[in-house]
Amino acid sequence: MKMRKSLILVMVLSLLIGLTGSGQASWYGLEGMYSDSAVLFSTPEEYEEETGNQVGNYNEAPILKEMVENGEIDTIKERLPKEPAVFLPAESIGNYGGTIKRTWAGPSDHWGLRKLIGERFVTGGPDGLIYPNVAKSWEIIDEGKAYIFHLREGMKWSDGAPVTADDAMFWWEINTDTDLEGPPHSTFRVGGETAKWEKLDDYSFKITFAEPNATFLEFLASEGRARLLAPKHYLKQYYPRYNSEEEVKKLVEEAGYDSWQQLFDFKFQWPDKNPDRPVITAWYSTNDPSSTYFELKRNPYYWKVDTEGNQLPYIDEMVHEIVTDPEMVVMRAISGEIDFQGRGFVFSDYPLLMENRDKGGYEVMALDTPDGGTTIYLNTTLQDDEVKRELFDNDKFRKALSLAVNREEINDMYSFGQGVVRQSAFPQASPFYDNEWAKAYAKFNIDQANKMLDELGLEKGEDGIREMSDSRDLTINLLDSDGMNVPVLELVKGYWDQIGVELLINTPERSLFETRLENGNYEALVWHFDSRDRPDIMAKGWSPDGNNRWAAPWGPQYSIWLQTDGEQGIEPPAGVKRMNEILKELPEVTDFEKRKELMAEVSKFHREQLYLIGLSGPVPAVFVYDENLGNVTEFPRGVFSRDVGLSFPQQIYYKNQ
Amino acid sequence: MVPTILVLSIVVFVIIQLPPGDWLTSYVAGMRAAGDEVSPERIDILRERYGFDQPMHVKYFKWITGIFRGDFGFSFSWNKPVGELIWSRMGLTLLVSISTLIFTWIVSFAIGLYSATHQYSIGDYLATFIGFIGLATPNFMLALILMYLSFEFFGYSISGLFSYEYANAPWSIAKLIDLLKHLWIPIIVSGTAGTAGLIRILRANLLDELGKPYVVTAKTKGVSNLKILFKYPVRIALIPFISTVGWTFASLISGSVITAIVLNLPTAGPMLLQALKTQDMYLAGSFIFFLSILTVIGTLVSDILLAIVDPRIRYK
Repeated sequence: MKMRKSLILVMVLSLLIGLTGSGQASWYGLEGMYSDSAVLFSTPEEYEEETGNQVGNYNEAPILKEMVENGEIDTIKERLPKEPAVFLPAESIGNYGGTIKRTWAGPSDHWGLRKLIGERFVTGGPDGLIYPNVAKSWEIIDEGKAYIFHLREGMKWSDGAPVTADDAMFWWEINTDTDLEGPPHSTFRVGGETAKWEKLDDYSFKITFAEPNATFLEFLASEGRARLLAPKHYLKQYYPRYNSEEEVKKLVEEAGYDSWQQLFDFKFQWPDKNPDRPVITAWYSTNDPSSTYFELKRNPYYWKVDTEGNQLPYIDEMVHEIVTDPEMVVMRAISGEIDFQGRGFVFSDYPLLMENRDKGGYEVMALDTPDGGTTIYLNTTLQDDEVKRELFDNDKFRKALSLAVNREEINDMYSFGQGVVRQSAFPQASPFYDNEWAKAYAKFNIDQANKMLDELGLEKGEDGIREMSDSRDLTINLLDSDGMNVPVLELVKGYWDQIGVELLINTPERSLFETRLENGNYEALVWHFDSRDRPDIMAKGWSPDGNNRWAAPWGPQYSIWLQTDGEQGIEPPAGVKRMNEILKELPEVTDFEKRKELMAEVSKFHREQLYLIGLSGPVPAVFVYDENLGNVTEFPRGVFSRDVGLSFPQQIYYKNQ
Repeated sequence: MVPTILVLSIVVFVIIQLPPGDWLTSYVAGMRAAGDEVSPERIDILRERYGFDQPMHVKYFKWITGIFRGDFGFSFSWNKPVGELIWSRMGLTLLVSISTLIFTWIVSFAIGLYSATHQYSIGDYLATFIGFIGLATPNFMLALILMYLSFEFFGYSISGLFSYEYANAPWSIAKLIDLLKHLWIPIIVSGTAGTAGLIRILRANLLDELGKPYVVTAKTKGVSNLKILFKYPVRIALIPFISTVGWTFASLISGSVITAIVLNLPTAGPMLLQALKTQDMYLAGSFIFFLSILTVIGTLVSDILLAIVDPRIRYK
């Protein structure tokens, strides 16, 4: 861990938490953990109010200056919004210029780019609060029944067209068009009704919900599909509502697509699809993403400046080389050809990466990963085998299996002792972390496990394998997608041999695995407990869910029962039903303490029932960056926090050039 | 040839769709892994929009008739017509394969000639030894070893076909030189195995011919050694050389797919692998289809060449 505390920053930060009205209560429960990180101010005025300093004269990168002199673009003053966001870099003001080299694996890796440069409508700060970002400010009405957002006047798309409330209304229009995108995300359907949008003026709009949407800002801060802006001036030509049908048809045919929806899908998507789509991110793409080197160049219209008035970003260019082979990514890194990247590495690359640091001229960070851990899920709603289903559904059986897992050994052998030894539970970085759950039945104890199984009447046969009530051998047929966890599972097989339970490991290819997961057709499977930093908002693997077939792999038929209103599947027991009630109630809970209470109930239920048999806790994630880069900060990982985006890559710069 | 290609297209299309699920399955899996929500309604819309709900023969018919019109279907992961994606990659695949073939020919011709005329000399043993090692080492292994050596001694990874400065630049002399600087690695990597085989064939054939009475007769009549060699035995020994072009070419193309993935070449290989993994069926199908056609053409060319070189073939 890098411990570099800047006293001034801590002071500024505490000042900020004290003063700002926009900051929300605990976001990750990470307050103070990343206090040496950067700070974002909504406007120059706010910066002045809170620090007493003034933002200097606006300045721009040399290559942009040249473009201004050649008359290719407007002056910096005209390009920036009236009130740009002000950014206090983590270490120091940077130098302009340079290229960041990275790799990506093509479109299946689009999150690698999105997380890096994606702009969240509002953003989480590394301090755990929510700050204005794209939106200059907001008002919350009736505890979240309505939200008013104010955009930045004079802010521009990367092609120079203004960003206005019309772009937000257009985003909503396409996201509610059933011919195009289908129904909007569930967060816009809180209380069972679709939200209402209203344009207030050119730079403000209002979203009204049927019931209070308590976590809407958190949702926006997590990016995902909720960007709330789409470049209407560019996209409307492909949209029959704004262009004549013949014109659209002509465009579709020229481009070689079958329908206008297909063409729109392509034109709308960025960064991995259409390089021409105007964006608001710090870098925009300038060539075809399927090229060997996919280039992103600095956006002359980017709307953030540092505290001295220098327009961000500092780095001129980002280049992504398509590398499909994971070993080649590591190869690139150790030969110093990767400048800023965490994707493509696994923790087992860590020793190799560390060893070649000097040679390759880079640094390596090991970042905490908020994850529930690798978990074995027994299917408690197994069909066609009632004897086994009853056994799997018995919490005593699951507890015995859990006690017979030597987590210390797994951690030592496969995570170099760097992982967390614990039961599958909410991650430590989550505000809902429950130490009791993390410890529940996690201590290796073969004798007790054997005793518990004896008590269940499962007697060992001559071959040492226990027999079920119909005298069949007690075997568990386990699916492991692509065999990712086989080394660990081989150990588990050894442990469970000692308690007379035979583990059969199957390694189906990923899509077969997915299909069987969707159908709920398996005895057991291994997957991580997808709980992340905010299991109350995203990745809710702790409850079956009628809207999500993949939720809760421990009881797939429960989800199907909920989805079909009881027509198919298996009716969940009362305790499981309560989980689903909590799941449905959460979006409307505005009081964070109440939220904690509900999540504590979830925690209690799971530590008593032990539907999740954890094998290993999360291991750190590896991040590689050029040793010559400044303003590189640690960041909270995880899906909800948007990962590397929270280290604000717009601030990184090359120290010597 | 046409029926072969048609049957090929059916086999290709069916095999690609044999795995359970489709592109949407892997797409949804990817979205979920990133914590994004994909509603069942959205999946249904996409299924219909991109025709996943149609039965296989309908999809096949649409694809194969499209190909005759120059429309190779749609790549789901790139949201683009396949035609826009494959040409530059197929071109480079062809470039690498043909250069490798030429390299294989030149090297194996020279070495084969030398080892036959200098049988059991040190040079022969050495050439044979290296040839067998080349034959026994899988291409990707050789690629890995070369990469390791270049990293260990030069501190950089050798891969790709262009340096960054030239990759997106228009063609120029400098870009060509840059290409040549990179091209030798894949050529050596995927060429060695074929070279070894051809050396052995040429050597064995030449040895057969060299002992034949007509050679002895020519020698006694005082014709120079070199002249005899090139006038008769070499020409006959070359026949299997040409008749094997077909399968050498085929193995070069399929071998280059794996080599390309390891060496990260901008050829068909890496994109094909990715397309297969994500079940991007028209993209993968078109790649495999074209690679197959190249192989079929290679065989055809070798048949024609053989007929030209060896008049006896024409009477059979």
